[in-house]
Amino acid sequence: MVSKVNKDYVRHSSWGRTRQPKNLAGQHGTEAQVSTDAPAGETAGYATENQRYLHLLLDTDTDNSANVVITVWAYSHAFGSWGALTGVGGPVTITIDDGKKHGVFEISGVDRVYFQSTGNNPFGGADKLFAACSTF
Amino acid sequence: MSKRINLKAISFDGTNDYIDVPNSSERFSFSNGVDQDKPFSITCWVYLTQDPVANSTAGSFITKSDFSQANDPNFPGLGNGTEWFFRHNEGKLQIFLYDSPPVTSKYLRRRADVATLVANKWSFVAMTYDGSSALTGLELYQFDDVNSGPVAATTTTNQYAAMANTETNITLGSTEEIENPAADKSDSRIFEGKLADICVFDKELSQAEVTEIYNGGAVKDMTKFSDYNSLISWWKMGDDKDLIKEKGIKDYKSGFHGTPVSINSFETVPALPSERIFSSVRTQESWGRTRQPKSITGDHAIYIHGGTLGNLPTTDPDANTAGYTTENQRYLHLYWKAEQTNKTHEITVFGYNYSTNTWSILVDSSGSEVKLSTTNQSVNLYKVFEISGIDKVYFKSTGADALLETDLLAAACSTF
Repeated sequence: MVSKVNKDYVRHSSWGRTRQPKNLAGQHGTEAQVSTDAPAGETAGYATENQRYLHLLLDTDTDNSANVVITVWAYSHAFGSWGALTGVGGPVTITIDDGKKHGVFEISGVDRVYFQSTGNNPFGGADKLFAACSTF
Repeated sequence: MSKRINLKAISFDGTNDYIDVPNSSERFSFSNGVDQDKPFSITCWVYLTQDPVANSTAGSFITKSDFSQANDPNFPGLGNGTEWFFRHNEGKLQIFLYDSPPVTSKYLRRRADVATLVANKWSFVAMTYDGSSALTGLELYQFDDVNSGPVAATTTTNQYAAMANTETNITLGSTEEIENPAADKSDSRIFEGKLADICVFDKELSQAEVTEIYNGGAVKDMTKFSDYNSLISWWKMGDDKDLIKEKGIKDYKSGFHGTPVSINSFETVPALPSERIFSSVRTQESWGRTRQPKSITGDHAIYIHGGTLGNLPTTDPDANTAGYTTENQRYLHLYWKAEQTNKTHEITVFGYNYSTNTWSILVDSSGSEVKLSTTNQSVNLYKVFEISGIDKVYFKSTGADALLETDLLAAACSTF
């Protein structure tokens, strides 16, 4: 099932397989929330709709040389608990000093993801994180 | 697949952890404040982490009491006063009702004669009150694998007519003076251990009703309680929609949400049995391809180690080993938590295919053994391996140190 928006693309509203990366936080262009705390509770973070790939775009504007590090936590209803995610390709983290980086991670359908700032340079100010999921 | 009513609890450090719930005299003051009490009851699940007798520990489960003024004559302001106070003292259950704050020497109290709570065991405790202000009006209950009903206790009273009505908040795990840095706080009122599913009722529960809520040792879905209308508050203590944030500890009956203070996380406690409800999350029942990770134990939140299934084996699988069926999914998801920092742990996964009729150490599609390990470091991880449809898996503890009872391991499978 798809719904039209006032743009020249469509955004899936079902939990189907979506080749087009679908923003986790809302409409296209919505920033994801980042916290310095570890996740707690089954409604923390964002539902992935059990997609396979997680796309992260980290846009930082730092004024020092320390990296901003975003660590991704995963939750599955099968476990009822949050853990720091290591996907098939390795730990799911994204790191950058100053600039933009787009990473794609295979998360294999975990139910929810949560973003924690774990670097010496905390996420904040003008920093932005965008998160989306897709499947092939 | 179903969802547990309870999987989480909140751990209190016995120092400065507590949950603050806003005051409502209409809801939580069971008295007209002068001469007439009303009946009420409290139930909760309690887990002590220390031997309460050997360590002389004590602490509050839930209170509407602020002892600031009474205990600290030099404190410049007045405390909010004391109404009711449900706790243990060296393993003995106690309920106190107070008249005319701040003069807390006017009381009606029932105290267990001997210690019944012990360390490292979940117990279901309850207090009931008929509102009569009489010595016979209070009762204490404890249910676990040793106790199953009222505990031997003695009620005493002093100049008591009825509980006061105060502006004191509800506090879970302490009493309200813990919020005041100038107050003289007593360790005996600050709880150390874990609390789960705290309920308050506006009636005197009967023994049959307390037994119903104990539910044979499995945390009850209170929406199914036979007198649900008498339930006025139900804090699940970490489950469902609870979050670590202001008003994040939800009251699932009447909206008196609590705010956790100095508490940073919820604790997963699969060893405490729980009723289950059908999850709102759809899960495949067949052996079809499932994008959503599906627990290999047959239901959500059944833990391979640390829960009702017991401990991880330390022996190799053989021809008689059942293992866990993967339903030939592609990915194996593992969740592992171990908090200790002085142990060497390793979990090795074995695989079995009907095509070979043999168990062997499993290597994933990247050529690496499917294994988790840690040396002198705590772990709280979620890791995915590609296992390409192998028929069954088995988990063995292969580290120098066996996993502890408090460690958790769970597994699920999915496919794309």
